[in-house]
Amino acid sequence: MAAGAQSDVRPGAAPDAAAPRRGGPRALAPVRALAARIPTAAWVCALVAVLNAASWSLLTPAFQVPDEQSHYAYTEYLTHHWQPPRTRGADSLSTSEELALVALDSEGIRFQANDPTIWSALQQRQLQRGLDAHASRSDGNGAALEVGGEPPLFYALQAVPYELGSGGSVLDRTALMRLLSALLGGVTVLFTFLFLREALPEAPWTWTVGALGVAFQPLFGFMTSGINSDVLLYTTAAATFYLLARAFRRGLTPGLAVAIGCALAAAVMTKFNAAGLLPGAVLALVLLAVRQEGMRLHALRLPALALAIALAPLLAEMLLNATIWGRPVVGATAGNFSTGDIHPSLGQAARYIWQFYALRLPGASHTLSSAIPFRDLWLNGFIGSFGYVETRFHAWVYDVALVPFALLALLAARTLVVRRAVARARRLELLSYAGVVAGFMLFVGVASYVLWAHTGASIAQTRYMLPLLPLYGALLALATRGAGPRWMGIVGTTIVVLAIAHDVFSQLLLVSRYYA
Amino acid sequence: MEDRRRVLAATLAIGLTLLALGLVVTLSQTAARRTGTDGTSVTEALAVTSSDGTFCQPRELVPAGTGAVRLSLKATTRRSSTVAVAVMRGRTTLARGARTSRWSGEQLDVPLRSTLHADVVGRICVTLGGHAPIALGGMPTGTKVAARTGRQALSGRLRIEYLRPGRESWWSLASTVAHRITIGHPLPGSPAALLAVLLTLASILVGSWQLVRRAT
Repeated sequence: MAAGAQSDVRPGAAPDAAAPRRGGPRALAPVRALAARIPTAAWVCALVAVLNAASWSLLTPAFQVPDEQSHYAYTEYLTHHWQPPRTRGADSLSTSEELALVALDSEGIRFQANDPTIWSALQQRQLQRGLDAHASRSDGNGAALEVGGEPPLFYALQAVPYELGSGGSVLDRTALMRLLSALLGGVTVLFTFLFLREALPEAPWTWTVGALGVAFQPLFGFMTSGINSDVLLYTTAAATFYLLARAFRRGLTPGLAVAIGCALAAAVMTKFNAAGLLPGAVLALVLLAVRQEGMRLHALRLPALALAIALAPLLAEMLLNATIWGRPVVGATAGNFSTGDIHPSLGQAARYIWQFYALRLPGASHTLSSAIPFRDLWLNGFIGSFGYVETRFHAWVYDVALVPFALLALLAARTLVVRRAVARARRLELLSYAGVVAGFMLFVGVASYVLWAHTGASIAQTRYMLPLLPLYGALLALATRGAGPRWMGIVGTTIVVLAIAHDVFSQLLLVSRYYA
Repeated sequence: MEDRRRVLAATLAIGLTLLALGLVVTLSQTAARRTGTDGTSVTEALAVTSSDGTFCQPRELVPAGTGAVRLSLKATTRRSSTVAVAVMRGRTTLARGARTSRWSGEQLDVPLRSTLHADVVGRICVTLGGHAPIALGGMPTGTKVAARTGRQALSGRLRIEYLRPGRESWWSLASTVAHRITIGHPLPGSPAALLAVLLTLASILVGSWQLVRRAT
């Protein structure tokens, strides 16, 4: 069942073949040329992700995607005050949003797996009154403590649908903003497909398997159905993976260095967590440069260019924070992640991070409630953990799901063993991806440690790892290849069907939790 | 090459058929379905009693369509007890029901003799009879809104869930669930649930088509 080349995939297509055929503004010509070079299969996989996320957005009650009310508040603040929120001691939302949240009983529902949304006629009338109240939209502080310190890119994008819905109610604006998130989910899958095309060029059909596996991943569908800056981080991280893979396959050019810098800049301007992508990306850039030009200082000019572009907007934001916006220079350090009043120690942090991801250490303080965080928090969270992490399947589902995940891991490992000569030849690339993963996990672990030192709470949520989803797509593609030429088609199809089933039953779980 | 595509299409068809069968089995399972809850969690036993007593909880919203009440009552022995429930507004009893049984779980469903046809804002009174020790589950609240026994306030409110009469499959609940999904959406009464189903179906069809069309 060998998978061969796809006729609509033209990795080496000549630029003139992709030239725009129709009239239109000349400025859009490069964009059209770029779009024309993207395979149809990538667009189709992206469309699948958008449709799926749009479905999730209709099923998920307003403000039940994690921290959605805070991200909405930030956008609202940015739209009305033309600057990001100033970090304050406590969050206050606008009267308009607050009335909607009270009428929706949002606080009563979140974290409470046994409490559904509002259903009664009386509650519906209260909701309508809350929505019709024409209350102030500018009197909140933009959820300053929760997300106010974060960079503004995601919120600046969300300001567009917010403004489009400005004549409607809070729910109208929320629905439009959620659609933008769904579109961003589609772009993430598009970049995942392109990443797979560059990273695994010999098996085109498996790109579709990997990209569809990501498009139907339920937690991804759930997150991209809501207003949360994580969504744009997924997109920018996927773009970074794609560009790095392209550079490893075709060489690091000035154009690619600029593109990588732009992707990283967008990531860094989206969420503080993106800083975790930087060490691995810098490692990749340096390895690329050294591979091309040897161990010379001159070789570092393209990595330096990319890094400069990546950090330029951040430096501009820091300058604006300090001079015009009246925010702490590094916004996020003033909120939950301030280290001013805690006394971190390296040993304690290392122990915490080990327990955050892997196993509880013997005799260690119970910093996390789980004995095997890798399975209980991360793997089970990937299998199914919705709402504010309170909506979960029955325990047996997580046990059963271990079987296909173990098979996927074995098949992917088989590919790496069978094709070890290729893997060895591409060891620098693999090392780079490992560096991105390690750097990102370390950053999230340290951020969680700081929060734990403050509050005793953990932020172990699988959604924080979804920027690494392109590698999950690669795992699925490798597993498909691992089945061998005879079974590749059947195994790849089975993987996609399982992903679809996983997604559909996750939607049913959500429906039963909120509406039955 | 065509053979390969056929094998893939067959694999896909078998997989999607199995998924559809799994959905039919899941959606056909019957259970008691809710009309609402009082939004109280069970964090502690508010009272443990082994003698007759009545506990009344004020400020309850009992949704229309309620035909049974689910109480968080933990029986520590399997001795038989009688549990009666009354839905009251002022001094008027709008619905009542009772159940005599042995149970060892943490919840008990008490059917009402009649189904409520409109939302009721009132109080729920629970009367326990028999000599089996029973713990009433709920969460701490202020005295004003707490459940009471006689004139004495408990430390919080009882967890109460409101159920539709009888047991239902998802199929028979479908129109109700579809309506509930539209509440809190920009267009109340819109076919949001149907649209969600269509979007999911479209994503499956488009994804399947893409998988098979370049299967060679």
